[in-house]
Amino acid sequence: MNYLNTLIPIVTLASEFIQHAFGIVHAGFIITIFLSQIMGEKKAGAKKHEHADLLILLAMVTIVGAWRITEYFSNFEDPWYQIFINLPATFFVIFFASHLVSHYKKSFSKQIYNQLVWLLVINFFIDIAYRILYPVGAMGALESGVQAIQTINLYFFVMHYLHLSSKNEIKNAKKH
Amino acid sequence: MQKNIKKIFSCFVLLGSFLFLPFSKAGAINLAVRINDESTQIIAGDRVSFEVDIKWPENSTRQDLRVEYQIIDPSSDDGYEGSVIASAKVLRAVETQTSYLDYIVVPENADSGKKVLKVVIEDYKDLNKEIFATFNVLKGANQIENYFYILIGAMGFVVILVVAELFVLSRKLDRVAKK
Repeated sequence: MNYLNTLIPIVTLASEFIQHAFGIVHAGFIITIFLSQIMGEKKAGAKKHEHADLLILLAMVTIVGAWRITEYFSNFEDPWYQIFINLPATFFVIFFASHLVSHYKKSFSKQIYNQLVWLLVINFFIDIAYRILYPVGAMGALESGVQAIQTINLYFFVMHYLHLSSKNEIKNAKKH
Repeated sequence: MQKNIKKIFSCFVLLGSFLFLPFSKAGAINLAVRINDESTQIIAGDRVSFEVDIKWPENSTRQDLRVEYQIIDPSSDDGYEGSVIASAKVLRAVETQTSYLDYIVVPENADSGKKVLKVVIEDYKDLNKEIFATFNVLKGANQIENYFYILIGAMGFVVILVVAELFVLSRKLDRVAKK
């Protein structure tokens, strides 16, 4: 029990650090690519949706970042947090992710997308369990761990999307 | 006869003078404080366990003693004898002798180094005795240091993952470009 008590804050802290670090990495990548697209010349054969998709990707990452920050400032056992923050954030991230995947239906890794959706749903229910049913340290550590895995998964999602987008760009450039 | 009267008178004077002598009941009290082996070196925030030994053979009635424990930091500049960083007061009823174990917690913000445990024993009259023992506070594992290691570990994990992913993706894109 003592060992668990020592482990809980370490797991929580490490998970929080990983989430913050990946949050910064996501945002950095997307903003850089977005700016390079805006400032650079319009690439030959670039599809119309690519510009909008980057914005959606940026919105997705921003929502996840804001969601994590809001968590710290929301009251425990607050049902409004679940209704106005947790539920819509989960919904919007899944919606945006599915929208992005729809453009690369065949080539997009279904595994990454499915994992992201499952992790978001699990996180939603763990958050309710932790804040309302079992507000104990172990549950908090579990939630942080799931959120860290989910953030890593989101990173792979973003990178996979950017990779496919670059691949398409190269192919289109070759065609023209 | 006169000689005898003188003798008797001097005896009375002698006896009478004994009555006015400031006899103190606390004169024959033996006090000792011994810090337990496991508490001679502790980390700030831990307990110092010690044994207090009171022997008072000339005391015939049960007495209430006020016992005060103080942890003094002799290295502190606050005052001549160092500053009191923790204290606790207890009451003990003693007859002729007692020996008991007690403890006091060293504050978490205490600096490392030698500390003095001072035990002050008083009764409600004129007894006032002080005894001392010393122990060491070791430099404990710093909380910020722990955070730092966790942060370094988490950052290392993130950096490895990001670099590996970028490496794999760049190789994949290279292959596409070559085709």
